Amino acid sequence: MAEPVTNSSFTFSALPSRRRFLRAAGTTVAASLVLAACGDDDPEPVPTSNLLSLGAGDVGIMSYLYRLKQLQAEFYQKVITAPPTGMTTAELDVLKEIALHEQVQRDFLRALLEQNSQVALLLAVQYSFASFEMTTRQGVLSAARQLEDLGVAAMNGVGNLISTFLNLNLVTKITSVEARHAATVRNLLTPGSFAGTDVVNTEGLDKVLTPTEGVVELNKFSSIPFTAAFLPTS
Amino acid sequence: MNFLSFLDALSQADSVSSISRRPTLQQLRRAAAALSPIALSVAATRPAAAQRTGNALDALLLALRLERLQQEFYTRAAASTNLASLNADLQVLKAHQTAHVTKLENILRDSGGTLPAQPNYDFRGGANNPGNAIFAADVFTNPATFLAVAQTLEDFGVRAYKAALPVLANDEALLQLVLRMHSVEARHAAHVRRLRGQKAWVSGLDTGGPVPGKTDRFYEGEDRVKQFVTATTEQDITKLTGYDTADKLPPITESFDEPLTIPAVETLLARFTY
Repeated sequence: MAEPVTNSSFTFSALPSRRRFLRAAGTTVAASLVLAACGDDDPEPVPTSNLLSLGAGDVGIMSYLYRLKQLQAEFYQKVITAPPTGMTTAELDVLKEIALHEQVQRDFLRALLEQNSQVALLLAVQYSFASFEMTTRQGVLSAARQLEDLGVAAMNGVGNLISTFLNLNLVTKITSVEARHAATVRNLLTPGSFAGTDVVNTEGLDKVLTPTEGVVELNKFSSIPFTAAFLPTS
Repeated sequence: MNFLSFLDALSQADSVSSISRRPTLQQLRRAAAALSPIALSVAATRPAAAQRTGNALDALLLALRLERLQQEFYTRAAASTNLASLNADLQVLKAHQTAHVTKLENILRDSGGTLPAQPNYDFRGGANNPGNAIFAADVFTNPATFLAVAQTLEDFGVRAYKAALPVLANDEALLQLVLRMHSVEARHAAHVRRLRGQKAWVSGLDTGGPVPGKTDRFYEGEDRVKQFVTATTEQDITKLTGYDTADKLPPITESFDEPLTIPAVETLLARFTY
């Protein structure tokens, strides 16, 4: 589990509600809480004015993937801790294996960010799964399907934004594992739906989300909304 | 093939460097040096802007060979009455591979390339030499044999795409397109593995694959526990806190699908063609 990270400028509990830009050492945007850019073009007041930056460049993309893995790992941990009714032991065993993969990938990405001096991007957040029906087999598998398909689409949307071969390689290594998860939970929910027409189009192509689109999905669960504003867009 | 080996050497040499999406003079020289015969004929007839030059073209041709192999495999399977119990799945798999072939052929055609002729296929994996066959001869009449070949081809496809993808890195649109094919391959691999009663993910060396002793090479390197965290540093995941016990080794290896090298892809593809 991610530990709360403090940097010299603030702690989470001291989260400021007023406009404030923080700059972490060594990078201009890492983990800075920036005011939502919700000005004149957005008629709806945004309840939380602070956004947590995912950072910039390749490390920013890795921090985005770290958050996806954190979300998924926490989801499966909750399922394992309180298994839903109607789920067989064999099905739960599959979810336990997936949970371990999510933990490995999360903790590896955490190590990657640490070793790139991006500790400030690891600020602890809480995830809420209140929108999911966590007490029934159907509810849990539907949620797992949603999160795994999200992961695949998100990862398919970052390859072209990455600037080094090593990082591109790394992303492709975990993308296919994500797709194996997605196919597996989809089949548990609906046999034969491993690559259903809701995710794979008539050209045989899987879904894709830009980081901006992916963050909208992440923010449905996160206690602090993230922003992809500083991630590469091309 | 020499030019692909050369490309692989280039991609290895480039493995820690940055992806430049605006071709530099040096890259153009490399592309020119790596031009395949098809690319050369393209260069003679098409304006420069429309061309897929050396590296990307070769990667696309490699992907096309793989997809054509799979398309033919599922087309024959879907026509077999002995595999009727699998027909619903076969239709899905065949449709995706056909769509991938069409897409890749269109891209190659639109950039002025000449599509290579279809090879002959040997789905026993013996390159038309029964003595070298990996699989039994009843590939399309025995569901167990068929699924063993299917798993091998799909897991192989996932790894082969990973070899081709870095070569496409300079072209954002093309890279994304092929990434979206790659994840569909992984969905197929997971499904076929589950049909065989296997885990959907590759654990360690997959105990040699569906035919231990003969399919091992398709899973070589899948037991890797180190991954790069910086250009010069690899993290041994078994050394991370909480991951130093033996029970964590399988999930660590399952969490990363490893690429094959381009020469390995060439060698393994050749087992199914002649």
